[in-house]
Amino acid sequence: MRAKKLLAVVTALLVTAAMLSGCGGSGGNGDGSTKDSAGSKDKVQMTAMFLGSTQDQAVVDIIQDVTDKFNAENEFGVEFKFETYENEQYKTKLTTVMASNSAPDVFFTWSAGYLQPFVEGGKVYEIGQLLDQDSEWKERFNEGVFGPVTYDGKIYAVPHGQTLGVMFYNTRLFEENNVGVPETFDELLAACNTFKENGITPISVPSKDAWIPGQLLQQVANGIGGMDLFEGTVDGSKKWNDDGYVEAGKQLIQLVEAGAFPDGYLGMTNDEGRDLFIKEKAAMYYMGSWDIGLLSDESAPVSKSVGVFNIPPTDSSSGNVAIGDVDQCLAISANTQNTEAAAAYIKMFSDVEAQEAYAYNADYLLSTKTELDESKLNPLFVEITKLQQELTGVTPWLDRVFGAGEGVEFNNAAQAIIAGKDAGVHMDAIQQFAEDNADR
Amino acid sequence: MKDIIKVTLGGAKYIILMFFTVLFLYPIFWLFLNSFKSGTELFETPWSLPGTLDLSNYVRAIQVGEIGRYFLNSVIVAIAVVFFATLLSAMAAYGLTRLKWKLSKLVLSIFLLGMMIPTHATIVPLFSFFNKMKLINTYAAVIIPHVVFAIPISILILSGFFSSIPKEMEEAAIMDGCSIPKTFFQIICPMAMPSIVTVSVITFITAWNDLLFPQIFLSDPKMMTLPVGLTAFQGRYSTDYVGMIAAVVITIIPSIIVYSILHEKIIDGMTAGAVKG
Amino acid sequence: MDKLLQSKKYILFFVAPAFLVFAVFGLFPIIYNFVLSLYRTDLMSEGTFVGLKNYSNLLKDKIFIGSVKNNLLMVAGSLLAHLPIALLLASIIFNKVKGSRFFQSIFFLPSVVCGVAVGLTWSFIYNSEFGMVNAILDFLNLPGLKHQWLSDEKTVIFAIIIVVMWQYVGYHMVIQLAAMKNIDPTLYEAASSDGASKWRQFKDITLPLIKPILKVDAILIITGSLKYFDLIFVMTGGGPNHASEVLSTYMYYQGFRTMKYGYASAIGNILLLLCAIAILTCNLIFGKKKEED
Repeated sequence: MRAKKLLAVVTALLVTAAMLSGCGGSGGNGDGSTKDSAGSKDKVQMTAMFLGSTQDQAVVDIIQDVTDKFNAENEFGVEFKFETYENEQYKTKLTTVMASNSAPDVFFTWSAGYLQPFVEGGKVYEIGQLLDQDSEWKERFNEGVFGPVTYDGKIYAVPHGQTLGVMFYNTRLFEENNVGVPETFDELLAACNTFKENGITPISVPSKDAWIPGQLLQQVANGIGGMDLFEGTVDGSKKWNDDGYVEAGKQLIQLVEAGAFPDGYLGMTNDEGRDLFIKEKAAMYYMGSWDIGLLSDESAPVSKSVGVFNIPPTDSSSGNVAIGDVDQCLAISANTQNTEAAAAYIKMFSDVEAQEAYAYNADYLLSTKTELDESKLNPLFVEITKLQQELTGVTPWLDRVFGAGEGVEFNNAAQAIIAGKDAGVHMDAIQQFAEDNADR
Repeated sequence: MKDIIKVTLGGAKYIILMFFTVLFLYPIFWLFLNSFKSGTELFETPWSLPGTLDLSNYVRAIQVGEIGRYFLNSVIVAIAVVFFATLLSAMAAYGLTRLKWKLSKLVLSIFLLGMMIPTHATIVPLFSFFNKMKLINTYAAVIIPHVVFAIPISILILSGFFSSIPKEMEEAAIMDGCSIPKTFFQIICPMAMPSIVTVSVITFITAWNDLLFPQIFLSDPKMMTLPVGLTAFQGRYSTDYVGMIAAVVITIIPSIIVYSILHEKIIDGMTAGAVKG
Repeated sequence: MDKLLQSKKYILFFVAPAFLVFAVFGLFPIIYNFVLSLYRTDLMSEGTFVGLKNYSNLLKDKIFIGSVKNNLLMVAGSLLAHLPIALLLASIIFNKVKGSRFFQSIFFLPSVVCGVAVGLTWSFIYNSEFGMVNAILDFLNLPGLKHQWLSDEKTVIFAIIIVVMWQYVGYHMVIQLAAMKNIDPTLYEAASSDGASKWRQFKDITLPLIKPILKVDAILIITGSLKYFDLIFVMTGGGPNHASEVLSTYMYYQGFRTMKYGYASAIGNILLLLCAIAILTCNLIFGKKKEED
């Protein structure tokens, strides 16, 4: 009996302690508050939410630096407190706070189809108004970067970086096997055959995450239908089972049949696939430009021989199109009390220091006209920027344009096709889903 | 002949037990081995012994991953849930089965309705509610939903037990001058220890393993529970697998130790009523 | 004395706390969900009332039907592992084996390891290149049976069910073992001296007396596998291409990703209905306990 009483008492104490600390937790020092909190009691608290976990330290550092600086220097008497979340958690969290009308003042967002429902739901402040009033701010940005975050002619978010989908290739392996950079899709196929014969995995496409075969399928489609196909899909004049996509699917299967992909690619995670290229076991690797840091790290065997090219088109009349998008977009929520303070906070992310950090440390291509010191830049960064300038068109990732729903289904279809399933059937399935979902 | 069968059966028992032991232990042993490897070593040789006994993954898990804090949060939440859920359920089960009132059957059915609730369907309304009550980002926001979902099954088990206690118990106590609450806490509950402990274990496991409620209802990383803390090792484009593995190992060890210690108490608790008639 | 037992004061004291908490935080969301499923809304702007349209759409939704199928498979798999196999282990340990305490701890262990960790470990075990499963198949000279377990639409749900079975066998074993230990040992003594075999004793003494707990356990198993979320979300996210989608993950997807909350609520209500059917079925099979009044 005594022991039980003791247990009960201990439990009660623990619980009380928990409740007390729990109640204090909400007002306590979160990860995101400024290091110097002296005198912060009379400041107005504002909140921000960002994507980033301990694996994305470079970006989190930028956020911390900007926040510290803003909190110390701003003239609004405002103090920002921010939170960062991992990818899946972030998406769920943002949706939940939007649905319950408790979004933070400033939040990270993806472009296009991701932000659209929130805009249409009236939850996002039209930041374009403030941009127009502050020409110095607006002029910082490159032409066209606001496109993916413009809805009905109005701008709703500010992009602070860009990304591009590129084919990384091992220059040494290419040389040793007498393969040149392919200029048509057929040459790419031939290159794959050569590598395969010589016992080297041609392209590393780790397909466990559906978006990876998804982007490959999209790029092949770019090489068939070009900007026409993309824009048609967006405005609805072309369907998902358009010949262009089905053809792209068939070409993807050609690659599969040529043995272009590593053993076990269907279950391979992103990290494993990258590792394959880093260890020089694969000749090529199709991925976004965000990976250049990891690929050029000194410890990576491949770092001395990485080059980039754009997957060449099947049909040269489609032009030189690649997948690319704006990134690190920040928006203001419609229920914020102080839009000017929020805008001033966001503005600091396009300051020179922040933009340099995005480029040097986090490997994001610039969305602004910041001058960069080439000597501090990763050489791959320079190459990719050159590549970007030679493009005739850029198509954002389809799963960003269409968001959850069709975007995800496109990736799913690509994943099925790269597993060898029928392209026609799966593109039909996306079209069907799109029609069904419109009704739900 | 009988002896041979006996020995074979006896041996078969051990074979079955050993088979399952290996089945359950091997994956955990695998985690332990791989916690010493580096990320690339993991992909190259996932099944071999580690090259070196490198503790850097553990250091990272503790310092950067803050796994100690997440473990503590999980413990706090789980114990609080068990305490409140068991207390409220025991009281309610007693009230529903031992006290006499017309609506008791109806109320019992309403409680049992709760077993059918898909927990994740309640996130949006609960979030809205907690937000208005300013409970978001407190332990209460995670504790309350778990208590709510533990109540139906706890009441089911406990009311089953309470129904089987002879009425004479209360009659005797009341004759002696005990009030009903006193009877409940000092006489009936000790008798119900087996069921109470069973209910506690069930509640604990469910609360301990849950990912979604802490993920959504908590925003301060310092308050996150273990499952959420483990997902934080996943970056936007790359995942620190070995760090995650080290973190998992760190959390399994205390769980094993605590369970081994409490195990006797748990099983004894669950079987306390065995010899009584 | 009866007056005391009927006292409203006491009734309130005992039942009200649980009922209040339950009604406010449990019933209210359920009612909210029922109502929500009759609308088409993203919860950010005015929804439109659509009546039962969400439900009729569900019946035509291939992904939904696939999810139901997967859930039913999960229920079957869980029942298989967590009742007969758990019972087998429980009865072996019950009949006094050396080191029973050790075995109980080991078997219970997987249920304390979070779904995230279990998912991670088994992802590696199932890896088609260096995973344990395929390695064992190679060793047994059965290379034809090798699959890409988690990436093949045909095998993924079965692979996941095995993990679920693995994780919770010990947990249910402990519950059943506790129930067994509650049985009066003199019953066994009497049966032994009457010459009854161990199997006979199990069938005629153990099984009937733990029936109530088995019923509760079955309910736990079925409703648990209908609602199961964490592991699947972490291991495959419902993929590839919805092959391992279950009701809870699909509900999550249509709610928190596509923001079709009305549709998601409808899925939730179907899940609720399935749980209700499960409970009623258990009651029928295991026999409802008569209230002794």
